[in-house]
Amino acid sequence: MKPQIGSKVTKNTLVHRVVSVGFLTLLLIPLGLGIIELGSDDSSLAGENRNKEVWPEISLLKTDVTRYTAQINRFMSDHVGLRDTLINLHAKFQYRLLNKAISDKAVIAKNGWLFYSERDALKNPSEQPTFGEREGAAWLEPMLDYQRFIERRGGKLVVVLVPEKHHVYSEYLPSSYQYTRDGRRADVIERLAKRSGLTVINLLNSMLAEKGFGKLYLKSDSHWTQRGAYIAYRELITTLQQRNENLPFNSWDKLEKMESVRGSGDLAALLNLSDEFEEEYERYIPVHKQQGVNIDTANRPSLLLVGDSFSARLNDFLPSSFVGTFFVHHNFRSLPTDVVAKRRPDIVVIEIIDRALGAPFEVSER
Amino acid sequence: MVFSGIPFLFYYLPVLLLVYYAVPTRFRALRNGVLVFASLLFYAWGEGLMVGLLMVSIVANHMAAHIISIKVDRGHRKITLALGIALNLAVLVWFKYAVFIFQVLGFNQSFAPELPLGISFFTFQAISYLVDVYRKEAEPAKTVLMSALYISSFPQLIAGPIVRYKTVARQIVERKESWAMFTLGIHVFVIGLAQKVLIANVVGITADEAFNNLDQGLSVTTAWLGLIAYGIQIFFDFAGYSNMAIGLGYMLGFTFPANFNTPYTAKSITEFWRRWHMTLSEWFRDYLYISLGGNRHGTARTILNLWIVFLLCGLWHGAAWTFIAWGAWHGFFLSVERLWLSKTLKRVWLPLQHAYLLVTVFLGWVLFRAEDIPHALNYYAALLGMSEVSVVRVSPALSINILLVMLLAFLIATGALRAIGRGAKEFAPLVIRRTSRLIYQNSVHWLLLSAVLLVSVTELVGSNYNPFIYFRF
Repeated sequence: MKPQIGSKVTKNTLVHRVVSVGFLTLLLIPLGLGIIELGSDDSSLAGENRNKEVWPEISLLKTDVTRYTAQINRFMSDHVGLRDTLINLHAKFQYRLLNKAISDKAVIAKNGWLFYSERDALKNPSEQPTFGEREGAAWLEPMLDYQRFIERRGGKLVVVLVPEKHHVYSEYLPSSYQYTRDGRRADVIERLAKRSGLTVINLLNSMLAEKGFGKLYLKSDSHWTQRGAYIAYRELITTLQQRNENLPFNSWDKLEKMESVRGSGDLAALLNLSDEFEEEYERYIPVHKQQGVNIDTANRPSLLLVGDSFSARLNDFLPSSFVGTFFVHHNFRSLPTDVVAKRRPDIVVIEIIDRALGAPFEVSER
Repeated sequence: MVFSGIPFLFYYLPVLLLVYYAVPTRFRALRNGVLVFASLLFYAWGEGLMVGLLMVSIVANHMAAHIISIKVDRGHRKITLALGIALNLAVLVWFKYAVFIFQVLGFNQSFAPELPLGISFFTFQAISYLVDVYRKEAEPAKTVLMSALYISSFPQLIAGPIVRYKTVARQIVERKESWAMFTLGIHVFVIGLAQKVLIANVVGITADEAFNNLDQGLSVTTAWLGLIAYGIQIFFDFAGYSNMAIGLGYMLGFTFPANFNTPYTAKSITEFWRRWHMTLSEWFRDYLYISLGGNRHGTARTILNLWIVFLLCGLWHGAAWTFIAWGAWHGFFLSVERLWLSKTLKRVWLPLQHAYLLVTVFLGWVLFRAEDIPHALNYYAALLGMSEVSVVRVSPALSINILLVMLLAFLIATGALRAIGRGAKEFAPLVIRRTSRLIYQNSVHWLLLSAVLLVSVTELVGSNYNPFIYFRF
């Protein structure tokens, strides 16, 4: 019987016993499974890029009880049984019932598109801290120092500015976001760089012009596709050729070993919705990774690629044109000098995603 | 530790229930001992060494209650009561209001203590203990353990309901746990959990978005939606937590008083306070308003008493000018209703009476939610369309799905959904009504409740998930 609040509740029935025991059992299952470490494959922890919280060390010298209990709370939350299953269910409920993401680090948009929203990635230029001529000049200053450093060692510097996914596909943003390009940092930097002699490739216009020919970003990934990275590669080679570099270059149509695959990207994984956001895309197996293909490396310049996660797909193409390609992550803040001094690359390419343009980089010995 | 958290739900609660029911009923003192230990652990878990303050309060009030009960002379009893109340209030004022007082007086605030959780609740319960014993409405607890169980009982320790001593004095000694009560406890607890996790937390996103982004400018629509969302959030959050406490009480054999009775269905502010946080308003009525003379000394004195009660009620909710202003807001409308509005209201169309209540209460929530008075004034400006909107951007917190949850919650909170259900029932033939009721009560109800519990638990566990985009590197 359904109990009535306020009514007399003295008569016990079988339903009462079943419900009471069932409720207690339900509470005990996660506790029991957690103790014997069953029912959780820790996949959610992999998504969070961390290890399970460990039981805190008890010390009589530590008097901060609340910090200690907070640590135990985290331990309990991590070790509760069925954690992964419940997180997956939560992600699905949120998505199916509310069309809402489990994390505010990504936004579920129109037609199955996902957009990365952490680190102010989705903010309009007008919502970001002002980035005018003064800020642009401050941003260029360490870049110009770095350029001089490279040139003293016989190299050349090219900066590639990668647009955010929603700069290219703003039409798929939720209607609550109204993207405007005015005051975009990459555009300011490109304009100022022309005056100061730094080679900057601002990719947005090229990508906007070519997005009709194929996917430049996956719907479910924060990164560009190989086709998107190819545009960066092509623009880089074209720019260097204009500066008298003799570089071999493969046009997209001539790329062989293309295959169609089905899968989902990092944003879908971030939201624990990989199976909900599967999509088809074409994949090119890089020449340098194809078996039995020898690349003629004679007379090719060496290259140092200083970049972020977008560099991975750019690197699928670079070995076709350069020799000894070497990658260093800039960690969104620093430009390495020691690797330049040691390797003396002919070309240094800095690849930067738009959201990392907010503050000037540092030239560091690394 | 909060009820709507993994440590409580999957560790503390099942272990406590197992241990509690492992003790045979005849060892009542031992069962009470288990509860007191669990309650002190519950408090220490979040507040650390502040549990010492709670223990001192228990012992001091236990002693004071006994001194009051054994004194024969009325004057002595009164002095002991006054000292006891003064001591409780001194502790409350020092821990809760020192920062505010120092700030107002321009003193160095670094000497002010941290606010211990639940101090407003356990202090009021302790005062109730002394007054009820003084008024001879209940005998003092025989042992410190029993006093401890009344003052520190974990279900209502942090956020109420404020249980008066005379209500539970007998239950501490001779309550009867039963399967039926336990089931009722589950029912009320799960409803409370869902109110908190599935409604309050969801609509809270919209409220936060509006109140936190005021500096960027708010459109009139967003401002009103944010305010409605906050009104829904605060009701479901507070009522949810109260229901969880009441449900836990039932599971342990206690019957705590209800704290909310669909307050947004009220037709006046006077009625609202008979339905909103009922245990607090009853506390203020019985221990303060009546002690001040209530309405027994003419209109002017009644109005003054109302203002005193509601200014203190506002201050009880928080140590800030915004809460005092909120108390004054309610005090003003209560006074006006008592003077003339009440009679006028009764003559107007019923929906207008509801509209008056909702608009008045919701506008008052601005003061309750705002960080300070200028913030509240800016929010009022936004509600009137006087906010400068600098960013043309509608928040995702106002997505259609969240708005649907808001609408559903609003219909529940205002009793409209119940009225619709009642109306639909009247159209259905009697046979269908009886059959569906039977099926619903015996199976569908529990299936629905299980589904609600499952969704609430996934929400709880999922809210601890903090993904990291760069796991590839």
